Amino acid sequence: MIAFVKLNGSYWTDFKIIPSDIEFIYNFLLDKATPLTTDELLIALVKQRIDQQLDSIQKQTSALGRIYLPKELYSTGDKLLFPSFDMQSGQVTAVRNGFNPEYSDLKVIEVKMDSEKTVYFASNIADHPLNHYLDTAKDDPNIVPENVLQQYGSFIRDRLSAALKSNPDLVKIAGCWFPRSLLVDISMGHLNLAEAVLEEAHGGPLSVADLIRQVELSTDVDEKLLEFSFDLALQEDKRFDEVGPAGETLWFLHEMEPEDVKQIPDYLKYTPQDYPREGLQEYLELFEGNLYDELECWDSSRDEHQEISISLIYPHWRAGTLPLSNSLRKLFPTAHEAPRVNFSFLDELTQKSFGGWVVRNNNYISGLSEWYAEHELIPGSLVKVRKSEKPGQILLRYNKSRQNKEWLKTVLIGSDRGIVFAMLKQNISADFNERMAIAIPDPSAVDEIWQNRIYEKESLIKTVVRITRELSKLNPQGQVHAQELYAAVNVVRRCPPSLILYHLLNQPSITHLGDLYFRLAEKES
Amino acid sequence: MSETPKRSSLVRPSVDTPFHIDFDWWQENDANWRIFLQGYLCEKHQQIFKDQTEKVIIDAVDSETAEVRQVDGILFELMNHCAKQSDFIDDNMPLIAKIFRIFLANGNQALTPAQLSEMVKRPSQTVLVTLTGPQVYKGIRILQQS
Repeated sequence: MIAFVKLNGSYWTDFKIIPSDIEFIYNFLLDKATPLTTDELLIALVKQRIDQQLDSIQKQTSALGRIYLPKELYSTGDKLLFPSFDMQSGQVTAVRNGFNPEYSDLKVIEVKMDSEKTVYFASNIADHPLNHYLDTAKDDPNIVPENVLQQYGSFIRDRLSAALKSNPDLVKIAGCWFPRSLLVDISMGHLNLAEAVLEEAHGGPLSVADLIRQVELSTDVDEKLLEFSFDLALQEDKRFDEVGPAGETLWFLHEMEPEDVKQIPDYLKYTPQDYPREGLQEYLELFEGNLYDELECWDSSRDEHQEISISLIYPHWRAGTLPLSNSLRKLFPTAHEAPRVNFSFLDELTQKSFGGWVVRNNNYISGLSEWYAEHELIPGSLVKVRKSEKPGQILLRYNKSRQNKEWLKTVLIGSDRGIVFAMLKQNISADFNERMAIAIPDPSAVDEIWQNRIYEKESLIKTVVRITRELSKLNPQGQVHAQELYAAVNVVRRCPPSLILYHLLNQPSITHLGDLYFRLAEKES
Repeated sequence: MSETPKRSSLVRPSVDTPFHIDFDWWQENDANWRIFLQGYLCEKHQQIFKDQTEKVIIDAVDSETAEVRQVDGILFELMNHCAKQSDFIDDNMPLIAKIFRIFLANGNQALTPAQLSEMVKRPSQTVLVTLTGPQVYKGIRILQQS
């Protein structure tokens, strides 16, 4: 077999960005004179590395000596290396005309190999596979850019992104890179005008093209480069926030963003706690559907076109938000860099559209306060969301309840700000999760608990025992289900379900009755 | 070709005995063997070798190493080119002619009657009887194991 030139098998798994790669990217961007995405640079870099490596291998091979190729003509005395003889060398001792009807000008060279053996080889024949010895192996997957990108793309992209980020000469915006030195200078005056334009537009969002047009910025440079430069100037000015979904750059005036977007609502604040998670997964899987919590990572992402039904917990109901858990993350618009993404909800029942925000760094979706109030939803109500055909739009609905009134756990706050649950008949408008539904007749009384962080001051286990005791009064057996406890604890403080489960399973004063049922041991005794 | 040959093996041949074209034996026993072989060449090679009555030596080039060996030109081209053509073996040929062409096409690799039987779609016993008859056809003989 002829050993064609091949790339080392571990070449891509050992891939590292070296200074010449950055130099290549810099020159590539200069040459293109337009900002390019990481993926576009990745393709160019992979192709360049392949060419560079093959060239280097061929040079190394040639450096060993003159390689015998049947297409060449040789003279007596020539010293050659023979690929088909493990690169053994030999010297041409005679040349004669050959006879073969297949080859019109065949020459036969007599070669004395280093092993003293005399071997005859063909010369001056154009059509022989050995002529391609210095060519690359066409079936080597390591030299096919598409294959390399498919197999190692993610790994190389990570390394490239890290190298680009650490290079101060390159700037990135909306996923595109460009040399800082070539950017168009945007004056403070133009940025002030952009602020005024956004103010007029109630904060935004506006695309950079709209802003450029409205501030009447005109230069003779490439349009994409001008947009990129303006984007960067806006990005480096704290007055402006980039809020567009991935692939779209939209600007919003930071000052005019809703408060619950700029800052995480108090109801959603949670101080992470360390606790062993082993063995909790099997119990979490017993929770009935509709439970999504941004503080958990156990719900796997779903098909992005699937509708998701979420059972509200008090903190999200009160803050007008939804949890951005793994399942919902796939549904809602995301971004390359922007921490806050502006999008629109469409109420499927009323066909009314209104703005929403994905707050990526704090894992929640904001903008639903009015919608919850308008439709009289309660903690435990089932909210259904799915992706619209229209990019950046989320369809929102709930199923109207068949009953007007239901017996529900109802929160009553005592004069000592202690929480009490009672089963009372309540008006309802939407379908709800029976375990998680809780009526709050006086939200302002509950607000006082949150404002004064009353339950935050005590240990979580104390809260869990306290709420378990209150809930156990609602049935003669004194049993409490973990899912209803999760919903009830979250009426007074933010807590993920797995932490509640951990305490329920490990607290000596609580007895596990099987499934997700628990009872206070002190009551038994 | 009409004389009764002396069988070269004392072992009674079976369907698993390997056969091939024994060109040496054929040259010694048939003065017209070269003319006969010329008839098997394709049109292109018939033209090339049309005036050659004597043995033509060509420089055969190895397809992998490009080494050159001097070989009988007609035999080389016949086995390396002409016998590889799609119409070289015809289903309607007589059994013995078909076997002869199979050996030419496979580079004269030895085959047993059992193996040939699958290729010619005839019982292996029939193939054995044909090959071990009183007349040696075109040099097809038992392979002498050295």
